Amino acid sequence: VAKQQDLLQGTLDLLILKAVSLEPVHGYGILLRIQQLSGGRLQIQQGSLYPALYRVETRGWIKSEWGESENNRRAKYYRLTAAGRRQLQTETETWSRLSAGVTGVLSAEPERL
Amino acid sequence: MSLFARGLSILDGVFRRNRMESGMDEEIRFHVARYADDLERTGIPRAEAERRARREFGPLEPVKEECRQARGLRLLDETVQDLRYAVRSLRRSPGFAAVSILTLATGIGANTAIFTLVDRWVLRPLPYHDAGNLVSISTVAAKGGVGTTAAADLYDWRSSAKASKPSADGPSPSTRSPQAATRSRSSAWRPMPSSFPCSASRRSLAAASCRRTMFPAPLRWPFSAAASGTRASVAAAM
Repeated sequence: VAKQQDLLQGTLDLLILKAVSLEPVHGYGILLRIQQLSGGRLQIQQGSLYPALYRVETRGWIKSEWGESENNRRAKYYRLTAAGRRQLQTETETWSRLSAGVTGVLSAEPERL
Repeated sequence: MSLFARGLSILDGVFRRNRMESGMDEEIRFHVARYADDLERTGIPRAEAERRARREFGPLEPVKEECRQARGLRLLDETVQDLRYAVRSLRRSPGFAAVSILTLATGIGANTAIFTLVDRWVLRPLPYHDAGNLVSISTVAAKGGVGTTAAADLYDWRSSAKASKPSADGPSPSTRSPQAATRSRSSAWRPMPSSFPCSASRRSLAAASCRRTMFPAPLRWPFSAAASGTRASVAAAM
């Protein structure tokens, strides 16, 4: 299981943007969603989620509002803004390039040099 | 990222600090409670589930501090803390506070005074158009000694200059007196009133100065001043 500190710098922001882009969700829901979508391979440390959420919100990529949760508790729901959607697209492309590059290096074999 | 959005968010944090703090507490409480619910569903007793949820979340204060930092509030907090500390220290030793304040006040006052003088005397141009071309006129006696020039002399010089060359109004550098050549920053005598349009923005000061120093018609060097035993010279540029 990859812990949060193993994630590349900035990856948590990208995961948050993606999780929030699917539908408005509260902080705890974001953790569950990332865990679920990664097949349990990614587990975000609970304490590091909120500073990241506040940072992303301060940058204007997500917006929060209070609402009722599924068990009638008051919860803060986050949703993606237009700027956040653009940022998600940019970061996804950057991630794809990085990932393809790393995969290319890792799949190198002596006879193909 | 929009700088505007970031600024708004920070401002929002500053002005609604209390709301943000209570919101942060409530959000974390909700998180821990929801996690405890999930743990309870796996068969763990409620009390134990809540304890475990709190433990796994970790210490609250560092998380909240990081959240405030993410909002850009840390600098503000530290500044406020520093100010409080300064006020407490000054209260503890009023003698030291008085000396510090007096020293600062004297230093600031002296600096302001010096700057004001330098600004008025050195930095600011005179309130005339082409202030660099202004000259002052002194009368140098045949035996030496520089004195002020009487207005009547100037009127005389002006009328004799008119009589000799009524239409001339250009510079005549070749005809300056020897003193003028060595002491003047001005390269030549120039027609005066037409060169002295007062600045409209400083009308009152300029008007007062005009009355004191200006002449109603062009005045040209050389003047026929030999008869009175004095020579006029362009002594120094103002």
